[in-house]
Amino acid sequence: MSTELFGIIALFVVTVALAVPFGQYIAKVYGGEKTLLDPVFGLLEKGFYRLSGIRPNVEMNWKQHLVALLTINMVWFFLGMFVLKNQGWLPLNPDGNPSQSADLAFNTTISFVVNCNLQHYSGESGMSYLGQLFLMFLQFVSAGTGMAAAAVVIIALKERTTEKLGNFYDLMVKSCTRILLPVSFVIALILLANGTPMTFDGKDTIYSLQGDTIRVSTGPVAAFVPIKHVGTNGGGFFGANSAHPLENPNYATNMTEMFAQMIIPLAMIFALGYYVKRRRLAWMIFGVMTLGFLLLTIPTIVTELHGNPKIAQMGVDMSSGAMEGKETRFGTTASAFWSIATTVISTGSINAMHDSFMPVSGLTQMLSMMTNAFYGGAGAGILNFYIFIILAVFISGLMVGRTPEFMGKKIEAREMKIAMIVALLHPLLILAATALGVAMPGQTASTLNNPGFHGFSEILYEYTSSAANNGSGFEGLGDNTAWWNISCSIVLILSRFIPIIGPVAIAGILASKKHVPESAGTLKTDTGTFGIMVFAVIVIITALSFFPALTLGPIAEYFSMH
Amino acid sequence: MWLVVLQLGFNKNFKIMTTLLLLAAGALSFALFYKTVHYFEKI
Repeated sequence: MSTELFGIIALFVVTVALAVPFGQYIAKVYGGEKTLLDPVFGLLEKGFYRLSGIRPNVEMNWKQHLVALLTINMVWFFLGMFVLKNQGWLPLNPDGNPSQSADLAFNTTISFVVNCNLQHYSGESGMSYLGQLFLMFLQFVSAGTGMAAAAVVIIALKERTTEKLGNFYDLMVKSCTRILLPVSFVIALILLANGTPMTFDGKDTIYSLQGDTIRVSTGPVAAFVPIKHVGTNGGGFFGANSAHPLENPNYATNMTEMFAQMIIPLAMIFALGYYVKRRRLAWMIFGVMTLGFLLLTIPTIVTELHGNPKIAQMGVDMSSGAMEGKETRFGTTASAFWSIATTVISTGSINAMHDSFMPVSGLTQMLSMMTNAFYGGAGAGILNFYIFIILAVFISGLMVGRTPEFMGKKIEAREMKIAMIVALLHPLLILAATALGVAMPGQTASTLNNPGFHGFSEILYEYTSSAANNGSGFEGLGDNTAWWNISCSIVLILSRFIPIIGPVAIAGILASKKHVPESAGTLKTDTGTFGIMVFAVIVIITALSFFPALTLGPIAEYFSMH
Repeated sequence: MWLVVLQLGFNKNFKIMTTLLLLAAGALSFALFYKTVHYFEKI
């Protein structure tokens, strides 16, 4: 047990230690400084830009950034629909998997475009290799989109008074080629060395000791899995995601994949500090996020290690913890840690079935996605946290009776309206969609795996995962129906782009304002006191929004077990 | 009458009609986001 705990503590410390220099590297990339990879990708990019007519040196204002972001994402949406609706007859389909239905293709495409990767299909039978490769492409560019949007906010924070905030295409392509690709390449080599397949030959045939012939799905898994984590996407090559032995073969790959999903969100925090030359601000953000992360992780690990009291009553030994739905090669502690890391960070990949976790863990997993502000996804984490900083600055300003300022810019009614719209959209989408789902038992009741409180949790979790662009699921849900595919798609797309548009708009508006020099009366935003204020704002908004819904689900389930 | 004809036509070409409807829904969503950008500009 102590070895397992040591494993995850060591992993977290090593990830943080590496995130600091990596953040410095990211700041250099966004600052336009030369990197070692420029000779490799520079020529390729020049050719691509010349072919497409994009001028990466032309600076954009915040509206031009957003129009470019939306336009390129719309192109990917149409392209994705074409590939998934026609993959049955398109090349690279050795297993003969069929094309997807319209509603499933709609859900899958939107889910991957928005960096959520909620999957209502199983990769083994529902996706051709061409489809998988296209989804892999989307995993790169959707993460690149989020990181480019975060980069715009970071650039805006640094600039004194300007409308010019870099070029969206330049930032997005550099995010993919200078940051995501090299890390993914290293992770892919580690996975390959541990037995993850990389082939286009179709299903493999193995013979069991009993003499049975078994057809095993393989494919370009080693290329697909790294970006699933590095880009905080989470979409699995196989249905069982990282619980599948070919996607996550052993404890070493499990640690590698956990590292892969944590490194970019953590490094982005430090990149902000290095870029704007305010490292104390970065450490304040890191401190608040880590406090939230630990408050969610520790109860989950403790609960899972205590085992399931109902199963213990049957005389089953619980000394290994609650092992239902978990892989023996990973154990209880690493699975519990992963479940919070993947929901806090918005990866959504799973190495154990969240449906089988204890009610307290279901609660913490959902809370991780409901807060949606601790670490967060690649780029998206910074964007979400930025909104909470704006709210905390405004409230602090009201409390001390001063005009609220952040980084030398006055926060006024316009920015606050946008921040409130973005902050309230998240609970609105989750709660309204869950209420609709519950009010329509004809659409949802037959898809639930459990009656009562746990069934309610399955519905609440599905929409929370969609709204947080997380993509993990309480896997008991039979979600490949028109209702789930379409309703989740609506939640997915609204909860991706409006929370990107809002922070970029606020950052752009603030950047164009006159810079106010700091004085003795300026509210310090890089102190522990302000960090506590931000944390309080996050907790209060989450608690007020979600406590009643959680009471009907995991909290009621907990009391029904004790 | 025209509603029945429309429904019959939809049912006869259900797969293609659903696909077209969902493509339109996607396009409309992006149109909404473009409007949101302009709304935030003027808010």
